[in-house]
Amino acid sequence: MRNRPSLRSSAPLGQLLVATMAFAAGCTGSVSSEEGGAAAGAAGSGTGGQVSAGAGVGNAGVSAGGTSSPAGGGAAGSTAANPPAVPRAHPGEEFACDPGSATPGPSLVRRLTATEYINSVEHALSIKIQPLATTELPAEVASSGFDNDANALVVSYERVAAYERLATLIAGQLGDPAAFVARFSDCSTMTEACQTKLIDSLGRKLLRGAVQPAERTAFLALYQAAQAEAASYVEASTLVLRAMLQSPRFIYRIEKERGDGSVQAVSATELASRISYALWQAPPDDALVAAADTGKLEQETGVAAEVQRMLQDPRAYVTASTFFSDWLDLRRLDTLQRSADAFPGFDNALHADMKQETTALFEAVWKSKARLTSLYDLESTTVSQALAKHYGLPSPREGVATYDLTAVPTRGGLLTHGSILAIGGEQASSVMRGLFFIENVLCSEIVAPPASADTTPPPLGAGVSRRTVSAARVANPACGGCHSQMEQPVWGLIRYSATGVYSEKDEFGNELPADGEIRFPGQQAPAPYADVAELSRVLAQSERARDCLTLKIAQYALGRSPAGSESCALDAARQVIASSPGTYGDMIGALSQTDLFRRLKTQTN
Amino acid sequence: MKYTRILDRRTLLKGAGSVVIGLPFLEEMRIQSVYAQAAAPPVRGLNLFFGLGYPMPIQSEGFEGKNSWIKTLEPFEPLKSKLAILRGVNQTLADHADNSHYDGAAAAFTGTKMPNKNTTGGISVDQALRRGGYPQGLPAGMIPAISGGTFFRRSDSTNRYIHSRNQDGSPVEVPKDTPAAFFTRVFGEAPGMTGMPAASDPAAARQQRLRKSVLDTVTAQYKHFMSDAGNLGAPSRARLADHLDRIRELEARIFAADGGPTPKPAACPTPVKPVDPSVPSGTAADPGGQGINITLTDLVGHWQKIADVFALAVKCDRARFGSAVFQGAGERIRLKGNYQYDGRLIYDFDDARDRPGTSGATACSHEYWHSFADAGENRQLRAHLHLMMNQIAHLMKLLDAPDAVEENGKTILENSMVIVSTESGDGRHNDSTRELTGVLHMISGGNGRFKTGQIIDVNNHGIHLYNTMLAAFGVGRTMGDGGGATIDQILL
Repeated sequence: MRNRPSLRSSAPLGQLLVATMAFAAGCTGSVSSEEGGAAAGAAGSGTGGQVSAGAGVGNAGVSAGGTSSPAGGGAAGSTAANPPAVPRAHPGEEFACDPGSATPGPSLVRRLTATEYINSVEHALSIKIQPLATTELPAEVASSGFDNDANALVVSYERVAAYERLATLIAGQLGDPAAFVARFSDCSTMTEACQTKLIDSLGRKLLRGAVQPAERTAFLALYQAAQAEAASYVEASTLVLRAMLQSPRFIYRIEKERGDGSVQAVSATELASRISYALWQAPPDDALVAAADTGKLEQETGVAAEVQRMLQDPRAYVTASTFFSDWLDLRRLDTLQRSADAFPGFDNALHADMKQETTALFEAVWKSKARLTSLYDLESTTVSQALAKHYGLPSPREGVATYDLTAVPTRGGLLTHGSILAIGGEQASSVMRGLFFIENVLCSEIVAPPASADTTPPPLGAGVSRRTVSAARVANPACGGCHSQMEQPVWGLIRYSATGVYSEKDEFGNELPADGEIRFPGQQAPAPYADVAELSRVLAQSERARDCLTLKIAQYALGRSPAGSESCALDAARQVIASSPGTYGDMIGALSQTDLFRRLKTQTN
Repeated sequence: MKYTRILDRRTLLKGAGSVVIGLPFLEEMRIQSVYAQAAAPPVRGLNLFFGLGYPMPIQSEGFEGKNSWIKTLEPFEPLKSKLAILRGVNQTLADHADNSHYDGAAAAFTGTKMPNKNTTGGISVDQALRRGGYPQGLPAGMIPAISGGTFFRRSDSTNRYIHSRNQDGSPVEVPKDTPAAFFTRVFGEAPGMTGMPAASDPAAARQQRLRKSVLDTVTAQYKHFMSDAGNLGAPSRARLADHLDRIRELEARIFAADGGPTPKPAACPTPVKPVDPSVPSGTAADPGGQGINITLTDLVGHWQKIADVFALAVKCDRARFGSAVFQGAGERIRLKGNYQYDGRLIYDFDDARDRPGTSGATACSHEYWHSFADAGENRQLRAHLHLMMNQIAHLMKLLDAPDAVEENGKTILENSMVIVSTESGDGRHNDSTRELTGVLHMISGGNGRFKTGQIIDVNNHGIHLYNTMLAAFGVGRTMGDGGGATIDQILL
């Protein structure tokens, strides 16, 4: 029922969006309770499944549309207030880039995240509001992956109340209010001219664009109300500031969405905002505003120049590292606890060190301007002494230190980090690790098994290794169609426990072979590897792994999953990236030149 | 398209009689309650969710049960004349190719397919009733959806535990997961929201007036962007409208007409802020999907405090709509404790003992649902189900208590649209159709609109059930596309 056509041999990035695993083997998965997508399984019979697809569902769960069809019962809810689902994940050639059907994804106002709120206030007002704002603003609703998805950024009563409190507190932190007001208005009388001057000047900065007449009228009315309470111009102006800090133009990123239904270029001001929040999680600086105002952003070279300039700013690294952390959902390590019974002597505080190790990996890749996929095979790591001991690295040094791993073939690259090896639960499940791999490294997807599937695990005796258990699933004609896709790519990790300890034998004394193979979507022949080191090298050179990272960056930069109709834009970026060194900057730079950033589809209702 | 309603205007406006009792100064007292003046009970819609599902074969046993020691519906025996148990409610229209922890949970109370793991496919039935029942909005200051619960599995999907949804599938309210926070949400005491300034302090009164002027300006901005002149599409306008609702609620809390006690329902006792039990909340509640150890005492103690606040919010007319969650979808706990019901041992929970050779996630009770066997005893699963039903019944009993009797002589439970649902009709992940078929529902009588005291095999889609219930309340606008069958079996 969910068989899907396979892709051609060289799947473009756009098709990462539109296909999913096509299972040909009848699959009676034995995946226990694994979550994160569906358990493996498939209908029919044949030669084995193919990994084909990719969907934005995996990590952040923020895809814009349904899977194999417009949202059936869900589409029933498509009303004026409920946007129709955007077809996202229907596999096959028909969804290859077709310029005629290319359309930007759905528009939705996007509330500023807490980080964006803080950055926006601090940029516009040149004051620091930390740690006050962090204390006041409610935490975002936790969900794995990226926390900047427009769909998930709803507003709660507590958040609205916090905005109100913060606005008052911020106005109280201005120091000399008169001096603050003087920054935005060179007059200080309670005249409409003076009031308008401040409204327009402060609004231009705080609201990220020119103040509209209707907005100005409302702010002028506030001056009048303040005047009735005998407020001075300065006091009244701080009230305007409080109102602006709560206004929709500040709290949300708002674009002109209404029109005749056609696809149109976003305005230069809107584009500047898109670029700025994607690169910095902050509003445009003066240079970017100037580039927008002078028409430079209408040229590809102008956008490229601004992106290159902005990548040199420390905020770009902060944003990129946040992406990296969210992509791998490193927050899970903040609360992860291993049971003392299963891991006697293990210190759960090491999870923080593991998180630090992985963060440091990205920093190393960033600083060296290396291709982003080199994170898979970087032959050094930066860890605490405790973690170095835990890993068994030679000569652990005090504090946090960087270790050369060229002579340590069992360590090196992201997959050998404790943060990643923690995926899979205490049993270090190959199924769960495999699902992570499929969804986050290959941007593919496992679909649910069919109704006929029998998930009874193959009978196994006591003392059997987890590699043998996994191999049994792969070898089982009923299971292998799916489980070979999931599990063989992570057999290279089978020697690592849930806490990242390496051992070539398990607790029963069984040998744990670490060879396996990866079936890259669209490629007929699997890519074999002998051990984790080779697995890491294969990934580091993989176009698929690179494309998947590009897709994830696009998702993060847009604050939504790209829609299926945006395949052409993604492919355009892919072609540019393929001929570049493949750094994070190359990826975000290429994406910023596409219609993903530059255009929107207007709405008639 | 707006909701329409065909409701007796008396529901909102008419009536007499109220009871004033002395209370401490809490926000609750400053809300002008129309409930207290109503002869007819107000329209209410409450969703009660429990996680992990209720396997169809066990449903089929009814109240009698398969054996003498665990009859999973037993906790509802005292309430069964006031409830209908609905079998054969299918959520297969919501099949998203994920498992029921996601698509089944999202379908509960919405009947629709989720577009992603944080959004449902449409509005939830309690909120559809709110919009249809109160097209001009709820009385000022009333909470659009109370939401609280005892849930721990949350890190990868909000659909697991948020069951009051807007038209666009976004949460109306993020559930509070501690009794104290839930209490504060309902009854106030949040910083900066306590009381009006004393009349004798003109400077403070002036500041309060200026504060109101600021909020008036903000309101005007939202209205502008919600109008045609704002140049936003419908989804964005709906998002801003939701924001504006919260601003209005904030205004109502801050700027109530007076600071003194106002009439309130007799059923509203003196609210007392609960002390939180030592149960993990926030991010600590979900340690990387690995589940938590929890004792039966802590689990039940936490829930019953949540239930107390929930029931109190309804009795005090702070809210008429909302949802409560006892264990989210795909919940992972390792429970330990001696569970007794009606003076007899149901089960001595010890998931660690019962799942030898496992640890972490796989040692959780969750696994009993996945390993459900048609012909098996399913002893632990039954015990957990009994516990879940007991806790849902506990909340219902609070709404059915003597202090919940309204002027028409019926209890809040009887007068309201209370719906119980879960995520699946079978917890095994290998068949999504089976998972989403036969999802247990229970409904209360809705003030004489629905049959009670029966087990009804409706054999129809969840979305049709919800629409049938809305229609019974005279709500012209339906959920989803509005099509589909009317389920006559449930109607009186």
